[in-house]
Amino acid sequence: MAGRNASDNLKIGLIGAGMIAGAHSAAYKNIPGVRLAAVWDADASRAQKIAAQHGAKVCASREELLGNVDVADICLPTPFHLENIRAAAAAGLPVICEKPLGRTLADCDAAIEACTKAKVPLLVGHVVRFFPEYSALRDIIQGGQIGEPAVIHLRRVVCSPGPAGAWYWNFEASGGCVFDTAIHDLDWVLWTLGRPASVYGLGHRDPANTRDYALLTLQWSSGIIAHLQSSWSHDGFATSFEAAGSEGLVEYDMEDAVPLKVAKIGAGAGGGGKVVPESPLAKSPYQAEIEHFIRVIREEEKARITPGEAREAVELALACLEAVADRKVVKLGKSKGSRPKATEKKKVKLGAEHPE
Amino acid sequence: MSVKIAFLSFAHMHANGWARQMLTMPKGTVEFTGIWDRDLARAKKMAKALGTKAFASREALLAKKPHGAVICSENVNHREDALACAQAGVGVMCEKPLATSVADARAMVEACRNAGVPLMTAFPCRFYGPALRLKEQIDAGEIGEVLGGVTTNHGRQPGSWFANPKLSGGGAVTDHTVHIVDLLRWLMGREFKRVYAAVGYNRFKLTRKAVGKRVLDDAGVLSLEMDGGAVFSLDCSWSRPEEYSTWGDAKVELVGTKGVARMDLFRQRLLLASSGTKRLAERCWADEKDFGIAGEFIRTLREGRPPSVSGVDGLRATEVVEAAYRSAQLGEPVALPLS
Ligand SMILES: NC(=O)c1ccc[n+]([C@@H]2O[C@H](COP(=O)([O-])OP(=O)(O)OC[C@H]3O[C@@H](n4cnc5c(N)ncnc54)[C@H](O)[C@@H]3O)[C@@H](O)[C@H]2O)c1
Repeated sequence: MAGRNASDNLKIGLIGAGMIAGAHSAAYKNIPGVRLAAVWDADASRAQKIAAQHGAKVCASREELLGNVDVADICLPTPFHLENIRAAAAAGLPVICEKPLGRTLADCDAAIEACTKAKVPLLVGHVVRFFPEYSALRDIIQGGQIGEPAVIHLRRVVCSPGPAGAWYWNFEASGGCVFDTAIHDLDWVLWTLGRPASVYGLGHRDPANTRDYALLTLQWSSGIIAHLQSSWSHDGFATSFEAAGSEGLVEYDMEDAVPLKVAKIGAGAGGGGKVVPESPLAKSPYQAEIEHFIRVIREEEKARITPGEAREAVELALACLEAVADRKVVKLGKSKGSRPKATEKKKVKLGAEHPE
Repeated sequence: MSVKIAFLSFAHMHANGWARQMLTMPKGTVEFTGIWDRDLARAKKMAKALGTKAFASREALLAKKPHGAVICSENVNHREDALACAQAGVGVMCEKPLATSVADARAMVEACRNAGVPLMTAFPCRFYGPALRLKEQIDAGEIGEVLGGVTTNHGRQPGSWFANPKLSGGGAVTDHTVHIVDLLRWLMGREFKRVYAAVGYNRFKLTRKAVGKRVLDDAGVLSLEMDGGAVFSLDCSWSRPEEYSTWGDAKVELVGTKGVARMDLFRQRLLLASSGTKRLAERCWADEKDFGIAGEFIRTLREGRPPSVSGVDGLRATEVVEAAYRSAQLGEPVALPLS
């Protein structure tokens, strides 16, 4: 991609046209110098729908798509990431891929190897880093504004993925709420605090009745405790967090951060009002993420999410799954992944070691 | 007949709150026998404020044959005070935690049982409107079978004897585990079977200021498994800084097969900022049904029936606390009941 500049139209090929592909394609629409050129999905009707919205070509095969674009954007169920990363890398295309990088560490390693060999960037969509509230939380902690962090809560709950996302309920494929959903917070935790020493977990998994729920406790040798609530058993999507430190406290609840509510009189049940809450942003986090990826592909910026970090998030999520499955403490050794020094630096002073 | 109440210590100022509640009960409901405190000056001061007498000896006060005694001494003294009441044939309402060890809690339960006097643990949360409504809705199956939930009982390091483990028995885990453990046992009608605890020591500025050279737990996240398989977490940390809008919270989020409940027990509040408060401050206007736990104590004594919140409830909560400390030491989950 060297030499390509912003005035060139970068042609994006979307592999997978499901739910998250919708967020990606909406983002491309707003990014100058980029065009969603082609879409391929095993379900042609889905490809057709997104392609029509963006004037893109529907491809009959992955190979056809890879031959017609400059960048591959993989929005497939997790187990299919590797095969498609390999194909894109072999075609010499930079790869954008949804999180989690792979369902296994072997998949992650193979994906990283393929992209390293092909000398193409591998950009994994840990989009929470681009949510302003989560990057602000990181800034506050790293800037020392709450002193030494002590107890951190991260809550990410969603309703059961519906019939359209049936693959989510195949645990082997998705890894359930811990692997697929909590991984967002696990990545944030690694990005902000580095690698924990151990994880403990409790959960309730009942895929037959489309229920999955988990409580995770992460501990660092410095004494930091992080607690994650992850759910596919709620009534809707919600996030909240709290970080308490030696010198302060910061808290956030998505349900309180609603700056606009428009109620339509008479539109609700029984003639009452119907409230439509909104939290508008000039730029969606998905757009901010993809703009960054495009700048990396154009070699205007260094990648803020490295493949090694995406691998480490998978590693931590797997440790959490093990902890929940066996109801035991799982200790984490040193990372075999390639977490770069830059994200390991900590401005935060860490607390005293555990006295026992 | 009015119910005669003695107060054993005002080390915990909840005694003052309950005494005030008793004073607002219909005339003739309650009569104060007097106050004894290891700190005689405090006994005198409180006696003056509440219009009763201070006693220099606990036995002299108990010899006046009150029907019941409210124990608000330092945690480690609960046992001795309760045993004295049992011996004198006086019913007990003891501030939480019931005791600082399972052995002490058991001794208190047994002594009161043998003496035939009621023993209550002061778990007032059960009497707040939102908790009562939540229980009603769980019992009616509104959220289906409860799979688990996340709870918090955050607090602010209270200072004074709370910061001295020789008197308190421990820090945040001792102080702020028991309310929620009791609420969950009551809401679910089940017992806990396993505890894992991540505990932090001297993590917060207020603790560091209060403890001097001592080491005290002030951060804790407990993972709790209940009979039947429901899973819960509980943050009992003293993590509210002075600058925060209030002392702490009591929150319960329950996830069921048919619904989700989120309870914030003290959310009925105003937010006030003034030159008096310096910061944004909460003014809670939640109320308690039938004079709350104090009312329940009086009714228990008057009606001569077992209390709805018992010494055994206090014992069970104490067990979870002890298991939590053990778990933190081992770095492993610990099974209940403790062996
Ligand atoms: N970043 C986020 O916030 C976020 C949110 C949701 C999902 N995701 C991730 O995005 C990925 C996709 O999730 P989704 O919710 O869009 O799933 P989805 O089920 O909505 O869409 C997947 C699409 O892939 C197609 N497909 C499935 N198998 C295929 C194959 N072998 N070859 C070609 N097409 C195939 C399906 O027809 C479907 O259109 C997952 O890895 C998921 O974890 C990320």
